[in-house]
Amino acid sequence: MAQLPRREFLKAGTAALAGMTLSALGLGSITGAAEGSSPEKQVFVYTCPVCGEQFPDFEQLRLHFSGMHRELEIPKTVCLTINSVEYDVFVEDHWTLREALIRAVGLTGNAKQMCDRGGCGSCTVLIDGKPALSCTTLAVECEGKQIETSEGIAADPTYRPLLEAYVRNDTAQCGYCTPAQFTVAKYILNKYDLNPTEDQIRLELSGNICRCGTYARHVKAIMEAAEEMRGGK
Amino acid sequence: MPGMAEWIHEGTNDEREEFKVVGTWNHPGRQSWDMTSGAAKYPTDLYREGELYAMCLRSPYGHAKIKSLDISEAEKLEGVRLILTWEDEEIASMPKFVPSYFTFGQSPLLGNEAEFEGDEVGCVVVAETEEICRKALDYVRVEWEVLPFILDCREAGKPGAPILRPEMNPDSNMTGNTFGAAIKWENGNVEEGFKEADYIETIEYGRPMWSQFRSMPGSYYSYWDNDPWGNPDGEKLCYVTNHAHFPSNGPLVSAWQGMGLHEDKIRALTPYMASRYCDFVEKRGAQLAPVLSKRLGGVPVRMNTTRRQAFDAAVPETYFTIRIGFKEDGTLCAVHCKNVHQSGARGGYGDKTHGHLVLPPNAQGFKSTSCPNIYSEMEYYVTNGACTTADPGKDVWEPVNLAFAKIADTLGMDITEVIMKNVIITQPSLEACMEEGKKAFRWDEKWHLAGQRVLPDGRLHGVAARACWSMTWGMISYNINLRLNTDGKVYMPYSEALIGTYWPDAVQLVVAEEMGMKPEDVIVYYSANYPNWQKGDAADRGSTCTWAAKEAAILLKKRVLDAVYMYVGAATPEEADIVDSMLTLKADPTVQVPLVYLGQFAEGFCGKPNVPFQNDVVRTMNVDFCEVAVDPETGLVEILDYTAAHDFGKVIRPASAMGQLEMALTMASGRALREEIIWDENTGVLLNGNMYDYKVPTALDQPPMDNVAVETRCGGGAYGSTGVAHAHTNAGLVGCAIQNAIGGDFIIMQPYTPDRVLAALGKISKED
Repeated sequence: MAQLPRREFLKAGTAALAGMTLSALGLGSITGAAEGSSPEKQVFVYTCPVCGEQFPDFEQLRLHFSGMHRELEIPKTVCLTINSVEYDVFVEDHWTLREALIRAVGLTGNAKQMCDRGGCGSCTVLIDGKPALSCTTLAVECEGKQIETSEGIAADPTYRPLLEAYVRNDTAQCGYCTPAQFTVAKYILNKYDLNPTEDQIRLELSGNICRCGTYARHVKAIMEAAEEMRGGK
Repeated sequence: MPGMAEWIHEGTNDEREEFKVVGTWNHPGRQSWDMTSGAAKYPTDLYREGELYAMCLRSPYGHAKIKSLDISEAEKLEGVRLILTWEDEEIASMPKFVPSYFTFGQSPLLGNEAEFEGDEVGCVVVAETEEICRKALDYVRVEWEVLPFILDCREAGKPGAPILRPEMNPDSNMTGNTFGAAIKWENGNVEEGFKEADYIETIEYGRPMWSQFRSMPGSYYSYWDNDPWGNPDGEKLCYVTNHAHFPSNGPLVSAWQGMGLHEDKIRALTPYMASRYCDFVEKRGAQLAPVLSKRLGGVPVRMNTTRRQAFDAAVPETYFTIRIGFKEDGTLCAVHCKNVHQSGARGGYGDKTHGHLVLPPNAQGFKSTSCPNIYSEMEYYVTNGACTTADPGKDVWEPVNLAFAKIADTLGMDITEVIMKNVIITQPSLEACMEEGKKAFRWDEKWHLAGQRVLPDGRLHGVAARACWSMTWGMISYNINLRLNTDGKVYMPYSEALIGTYWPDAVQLVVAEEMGMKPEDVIVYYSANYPNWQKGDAADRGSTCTWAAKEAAILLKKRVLDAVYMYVGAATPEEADIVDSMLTLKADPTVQVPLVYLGQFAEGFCGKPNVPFQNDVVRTMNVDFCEVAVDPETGLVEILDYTAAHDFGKVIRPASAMGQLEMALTMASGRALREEIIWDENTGVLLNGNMYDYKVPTALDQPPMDNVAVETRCGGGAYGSTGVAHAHTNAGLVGCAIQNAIGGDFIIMQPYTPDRVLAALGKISKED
């Protein structure tokens, strides 16, 4: 059976997805969902790459294929839960989560490539609440797990004090590593019950390389956010 | 004194004494939100349906020439869309240099000779996936002629050394430096000076190649499409990532000049480009991606480099032998400085595909001392150790500070006294920095003679200080245009690629200050291709751009008041003012009219401060202090305190100003203690081109800092401001502090790794 070029399938979902997510949140270029909100099944517009006919769900596209394009193999989808939103996405088995975030979902905050071998931390996401490197995690392994990215954390009102502390303190210089550090910052706030020490913050951030040397700014921002979130300000 | 560095103190822009906005904190940058949330799109983040990938063949040898190249098998691979070789007519016709910084090193965009291991050479493959690109390159049959290589610039200068670039210099490996500084020069009479000396000492100092290590490995992305705002001649528009802050829009300039286009046919895809630290190296992808896309009908082409490949840009190695003569009171009377310096694989500078700029760590800094007799001799050699870039440290001062440390150690003097006795041209800036810095660092409590203090935990304690110029380059004319819109906001477009200096945000504060606007009513926004400057840019954004912004704001405010003064009952424009974004009457500030719907007004200023571009012009200084603890058993060095007292002239935006100091000192700490690029001397192959073996400082490695902003108003920018630029990443300071801890000899080679410290302590032999 001939295999449909995978990139043709990708075309089906991502554009519609991005538009819907952004407009739903009303946050401009920040994508994600508020923590605590119930997971919502993301609806794609599935366009048949062969004849262009559109379908509201994957099953209908599958039925269409079995009837109209029997010679083609239909790629399987993976359901990734990212920022509390479920995404049915087409991924190759060998794709890393980082690749899936860029190509299939369009979330690039935690898809930065500084080293591509787990040595820089610039691709750090939270998987089930803990930091994980998206460049060394296969996307297909992430089904059923809660993935959090910087976009989701930035859009979460609970972590607004963290976002504000980050921008107030110039934690970003060139900004390339910042989303991953910001993601780890959320983990730090939770792990240390909003009361981390400088040593704890530095230890937790030590896997995130910043050539601009902004580390002290992250410490300051996290401590300020922690204080505000504790109700100190 | 003939040949002395020039001290220009014009009191530039120092007429304003009251500041409402400039110098205040809590102004998030325009891009800060997106850089934090991840919404900011960097070249590696771009993705378009149907994109293709491009990769070049890379040399496995330190120096080699292609004797034959067979791409026929590679072309047959499914998924391969295009392979171009170095003989392709269009590739061969691309210009061999960018329009600035060139004299030597006119390497072709894609040639047949590889000048270092990993050099892009021979052919470029475009395919549907990166995997297919790699596979296709495996299928390319190459017959290499392996050529002799040289990694050490001292070897390149020896008689009988192979000539690496005969087309550049048929007689030797000598090349030139960037700014055409004299190879040899002398002030006074050095031999006479040594006769007057009470002491004569020799300093040896060396530094290996190290990497500025920009955070995003080079990533280029290009496609051709319709211009949504019109295609008058029917040609498509080239969309391309902007990947250089210097020269201005580097790849854009290269792309349109290389392809015979005009600037209106090139559009930058994103302002984000991650970090560049005077790394001018433009990878070949910057020029190749648009060409390859065009050949394929405009389809998006991505050309990424890996982290290992990104090590092809490095800061050059350099070696000094300096004889100094000085008097009993600690003043220098003679300096004989010989410097052997690396010019990188492509010669001096200017190769468009791997452009490099060599700021020589020569004896220029000595001209700022009272020493009347100075001789300097410099040799610049091409090698096969990657391409070289400018050093983000003000390396001309490293030898001077080593000389001061040597004098202080020999005479048992406080090094800060030696600095103040010898450096003569930078008052009041030097004195202010020294005073503020010593206070912040608690120098008087910490300083001691070498080898005299042991910490309670058994480690040896040491401190050192060093002075340096704060360069005001001022060579760029900034083009700032401002418009007061009918909504009462002032708008300023910019197009420059962003590297973390927050210059548009500093400009926002200056415009607000001069116009009398609230900062939130001055809107700076990215506008692709808007030309903020003529050509080139440098780390002195903080001076030249704020100067132009201030001038533009003054012009706009006058234009506005001339037109609308009557709305607050003023008889003349001079009786009206703008305060907190409101038109007001000076005589009665309670009379206020919003600036909305008063019309649209625009003004612009293109120019720069009156600062010549040369190394010898100094306006402001900085002094750094370092405290270390040295473990005598392991040789491990910990930096306990690092303090920079930097004369900003006037701080415009404190958050970013202090951030630049933190960046520089953190980089300096890494360079001092662990960063070094290592090649295999038998094969010329890079050995540590990854983030595990090349150790960039982490959050745990960052030294504690107590930085101080000094403000003498002596800089060349608005209100006498200046930037940080090249001032602080001088690793030699840490070496001086180590010597103060352990006593005895100075370590002559960076980085100051445990083995070198143990050798200096006599625990192991120097050969070990």
